[in-house]
Amino acid sequence: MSVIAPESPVTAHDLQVFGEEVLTAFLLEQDLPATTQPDADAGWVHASIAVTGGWTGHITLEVSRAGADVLTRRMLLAEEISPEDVTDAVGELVNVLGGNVKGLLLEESALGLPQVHTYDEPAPRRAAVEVCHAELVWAGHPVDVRVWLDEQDDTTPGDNS
Amino acid sequence: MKILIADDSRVMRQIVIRTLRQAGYDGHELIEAGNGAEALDLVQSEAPDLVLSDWNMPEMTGIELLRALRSANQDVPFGFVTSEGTPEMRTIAEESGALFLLAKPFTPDSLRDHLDAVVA
Repeated sequence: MSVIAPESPVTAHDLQVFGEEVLTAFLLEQDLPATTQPDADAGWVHASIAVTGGWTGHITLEVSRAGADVLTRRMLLAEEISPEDVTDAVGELVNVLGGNVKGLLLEESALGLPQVHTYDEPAPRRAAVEVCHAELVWAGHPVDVRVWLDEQDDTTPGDNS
Repeated sequence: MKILIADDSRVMRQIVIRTLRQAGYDGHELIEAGNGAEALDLVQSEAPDLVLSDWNMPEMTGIELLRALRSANQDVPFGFVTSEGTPEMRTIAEESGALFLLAKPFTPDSLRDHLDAVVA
């Protein structure tokens, strides 16, 4: 269950625009496969980055493990990748989106460092109010991006793992 | 020309390197650092002609790196390549001695716009 935060300077349209820019800059490589073997890598990769200060919340990105592998190959232009590469690549994607989201905030805030975890099921949601979300499609894989406004009594930074 | 690329993400360092080549900057020596402290050491030991640095990094941030360099009278040309590009950060970067702040995601064209005046 989520509640739409009032007076948000960030919208789902903004996330779509940022997602298109990331796609164009980092993920459009025609000489690499768009998909991996079906069900080769079950599970999910969940990345988040915190914003603290006048506006305190976080930006999350969730993608299937197979999708994360494809995005990592495209970012590195390499077929052989390691789990560390996937963590690095997905973390950098949420970092770029987080930086762009932070640029829309009216209050002075600071961006943290990305946190990345893998799950067999979609990650549980932390106590926060959803500001907006967008379902991006990168390299044929759905990528769920959400912006969350932390509740005032929730002071735990980073992820919920 | 020797260019130092500082970013805690190896993936992003590779993207910067690839984009430099796509932008036409071939033939330069490229060296890498995983954080600001490592970059500070490499500026001393390798004497790069240009530093391209992320802002948010563990150990030492990019702005801490720039301030440390300028405090040591090290005037190597310095540009930020970072996920954030707020007016406040651009002002801080400029006042601290950076030539530019290029926000991610970037393209070969946007990289060239910032580097053409710096890279021979």
